Amino acid sequence: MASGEQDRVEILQGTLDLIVLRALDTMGPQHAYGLAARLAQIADHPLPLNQGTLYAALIRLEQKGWIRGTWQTTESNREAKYYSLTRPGARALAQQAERWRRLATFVNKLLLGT
Amino acid sequence: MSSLRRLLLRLYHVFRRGPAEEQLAREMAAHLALIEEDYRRRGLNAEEARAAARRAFGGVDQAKEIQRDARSFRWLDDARRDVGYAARTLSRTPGFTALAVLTLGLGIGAVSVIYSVVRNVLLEPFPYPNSRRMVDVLVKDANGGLVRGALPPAEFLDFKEQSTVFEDAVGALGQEMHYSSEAGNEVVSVVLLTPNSFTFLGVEPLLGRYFGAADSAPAAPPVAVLSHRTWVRLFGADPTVVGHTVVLNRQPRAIIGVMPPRFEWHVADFWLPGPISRAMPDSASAPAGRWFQARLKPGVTVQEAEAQLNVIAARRTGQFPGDYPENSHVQVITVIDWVVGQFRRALYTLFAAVVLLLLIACCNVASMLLARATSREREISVRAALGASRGRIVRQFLVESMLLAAGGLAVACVLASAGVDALARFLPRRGVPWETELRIDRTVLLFAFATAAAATLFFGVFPALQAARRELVAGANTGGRAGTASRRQTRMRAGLVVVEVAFCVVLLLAAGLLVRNFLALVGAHIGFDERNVLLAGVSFPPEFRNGAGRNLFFSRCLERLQSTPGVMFAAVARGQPPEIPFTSKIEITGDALDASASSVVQLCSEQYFQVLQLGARAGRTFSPAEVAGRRKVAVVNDAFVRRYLAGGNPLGRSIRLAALATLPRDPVADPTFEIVGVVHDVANQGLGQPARPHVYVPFTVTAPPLMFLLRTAGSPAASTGAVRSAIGEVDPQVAFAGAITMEERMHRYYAQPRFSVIVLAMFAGTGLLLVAIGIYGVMAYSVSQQTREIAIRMALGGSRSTVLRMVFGSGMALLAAGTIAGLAASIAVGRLLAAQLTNVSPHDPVTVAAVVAVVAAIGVLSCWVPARRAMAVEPVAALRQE
Repeated sequence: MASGEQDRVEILQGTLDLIVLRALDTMGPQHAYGLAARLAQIADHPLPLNQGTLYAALIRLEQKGWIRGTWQTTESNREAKYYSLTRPGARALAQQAERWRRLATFVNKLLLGT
Repeated sequence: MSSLRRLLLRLYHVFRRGPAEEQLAREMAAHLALIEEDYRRRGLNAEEARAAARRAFGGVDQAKEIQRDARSFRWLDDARRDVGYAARTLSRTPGFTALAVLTLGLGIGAVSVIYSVVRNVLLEPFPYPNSRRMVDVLVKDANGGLVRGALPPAEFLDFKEQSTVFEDAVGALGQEMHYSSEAGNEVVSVVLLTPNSFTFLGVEPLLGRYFGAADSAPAAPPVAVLSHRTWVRLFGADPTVVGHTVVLNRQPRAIIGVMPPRFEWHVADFWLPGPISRAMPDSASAPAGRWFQARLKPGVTVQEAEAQLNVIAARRTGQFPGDYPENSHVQVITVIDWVVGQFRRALYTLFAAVVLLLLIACCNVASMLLARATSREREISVRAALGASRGRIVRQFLVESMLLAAGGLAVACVLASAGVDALARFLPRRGVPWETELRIDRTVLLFAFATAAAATLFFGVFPALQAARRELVAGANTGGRAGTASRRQTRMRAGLVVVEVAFCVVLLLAAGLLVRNFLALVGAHIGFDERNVLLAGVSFPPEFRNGAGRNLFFSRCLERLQSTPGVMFAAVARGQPPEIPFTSKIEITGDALDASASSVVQLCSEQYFQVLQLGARAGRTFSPAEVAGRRKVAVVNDAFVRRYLAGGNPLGRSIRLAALATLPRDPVADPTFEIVGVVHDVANQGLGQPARPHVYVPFTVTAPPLMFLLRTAGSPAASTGAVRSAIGEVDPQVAFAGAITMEERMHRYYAQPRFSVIVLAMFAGTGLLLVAIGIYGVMAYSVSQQTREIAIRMALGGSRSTVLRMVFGSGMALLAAGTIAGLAASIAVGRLLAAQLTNVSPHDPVTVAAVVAVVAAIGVLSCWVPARRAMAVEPVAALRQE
């Protein structure tokens, strides 16, 4: 358990928002569970994330107007709230991604340089 | 943009939680169902799938909390809940809440009213920018007496040009002028201003424009600027008045502008350009001097400016030795100090008093809250047991206090606006700038708000901390019965009452002293019956220079007035009681008097003695023939005989009045007079001041400026018309310059002390009421707490009188402690008041005794009801209740 904790990637403050935006961008409209499953799928490490934690990011993004949630039915005929990227959300994603790339490049350089 | 949107949504969700919560629950349930479905598809049975889903999701409530935090502002949400809870709690005890809110409203409202007076009279009375840096320059003698306020042109310009301490300086000269219109001649107050004055004062005109350098050039067409008062009075606020012509001293002038209401520079009706130059003559007949007002450069102190002007004055002394009597000096005083003078002290005293009143109110509310905290002990213990932290409980109490203060603030605003209107009506004119407008502005509201906040801290923190400090478990245990106050809490409440009583004693003493002082002032006999006396002034046109002609005019008017029905006696005189400013050095033939011997001199006509009801005590008063014949006869008062003639026979003695020989106009060649009579004293140095030696001589020996004095059979004001028409009939060129009854004049004399007395007495009365409520509250509460003890005492054979003694004893002990503390504090207060007390000692024993008696009486009254209740305790019933 202790070593498992160490293997986990700490999600940096604010990166969860970027991850959600990006996932919605590539996958199209998704409900919270779909997003969580997708994140678990692409992560090499187990995400340090209870699925419930997503809700903070979702409400933040919704309040900013970057995503919009609508109630729809799943293939299994259940109701779920589907989130989709809005136009300002797409713009924000591009900006955030660019910022993230710059930061990552800088940190990488710093780490490799020493 | 997106951040703003989020902020607004979060705020919105503080107040609209319902729908979002519902959505959230629905969404999470759907989420769990989806996970569960997934797991079942992978082959888990229903039970296992549900457990796995929960594990994957994490805590549902935790997730909800996380979302709530992100959705809205938690602290704000909590605050909202606290406010709602507090409001419900307070509304369950409407009596308590109303009393607390009213008490606070009274305190905060009274403080705000007086603050608004202090602010509008002392701090920001003028509409002129940087008015705090505006100063007056005066020349004073060694004793602080005024040598001159209006400086001759050369001195004015030397001060202005040779000094470096002023941003700019302006000169003004007040004059009476004759305003001629279809309605006849009228005297108006005109002020000549140097051309830079309006830019110096920085107030834009209401209509038209003001004048500048171009209008002051010698060849410029004559112009005038109207004051708002005059615009309303003479022109009925006619919006097209600009461009009209007015005739002032027979010279037509174009009106070029009207100033707004609060522009009252030198309180003029008209402002005219009055440039100043060294070429102007400096003679008594055409006074060219100017009052010197300047704005100090930022950072320059009054002392620095004064020092610099005195250096300039010292340099000028060599050139103009006559201008500077020995030991004279230049004084620089801020305009506000010059106008407000002594009244400042009175206002600050009132402010101190009202702060005391607020403190009393706060003590009261704090003590009420403490009592309430005791009876709410059980509720608090339960909340604590359910996990509320101490901080949370303290916060809850503070929120309740804040709500009370907010209610108090609302009441205060209503009271303050009514109070300011009421005060404005009897605010004295003297000592208050004409520019002053009493009003509640934003600053006053802010002040009220800050006061409410400070009051919340004061009265709210004690009970809150007290409540949180309690042993919670013990509280929960004993709370089952009617909770009893801890000893600490009882002590705290008792302490509050002691403090309250002390404050009230200080207030009462101050009010008592001022009332006594005022009564002494009003009761001081002026020396005659001031009812049915009318004073009226006249103004001669500038060409009316001949002194003999003026005297003839007065004699003719008096003839007419004396035969007017309703007028019993008519006279003219140079000054009127209670203050006659004209004095002279005197010599008495055959007596070696001190060189400084002097006397008040009154120039008057023969009926002056009848108007003032001065019967001759010895000898006689003047005959009409003596006045008409310019005979050098004199009447003296008792004080004169006592002081200078050692009580000897004054009749037939000769006195010389040196000042009459040096009058600027119509000096008396040989001012030696024969004493023909003695009259009793009338006030001549102000009310309540002992009369000085006083000599009456016929006005015809010179030609002084005079006023009419009439004693009438009926209402004196009704004779105003008679004076006006007598003047018009004798000479239509001479203008009537207003009339006032003697009673009204005395009334104005009292206006300042009356203002202080009324306001302070109101505060003291309110304070007394609050203290009564406070003592009653504490005693009633302690009796209800002691019901069991009383019942046991009675059951064991204690008599009702023991019980009575017990209740009264503890109440009176508090009272005595408070009174002693208050009397001690009053010694310091006496020092503050001493300057305002002219007729009473600040430690007047009568006042002290009266205050102690009043406080004791109030104490007995407020203990009475609780004591009755204690005596009525039925031992059996009370014990059975337990």
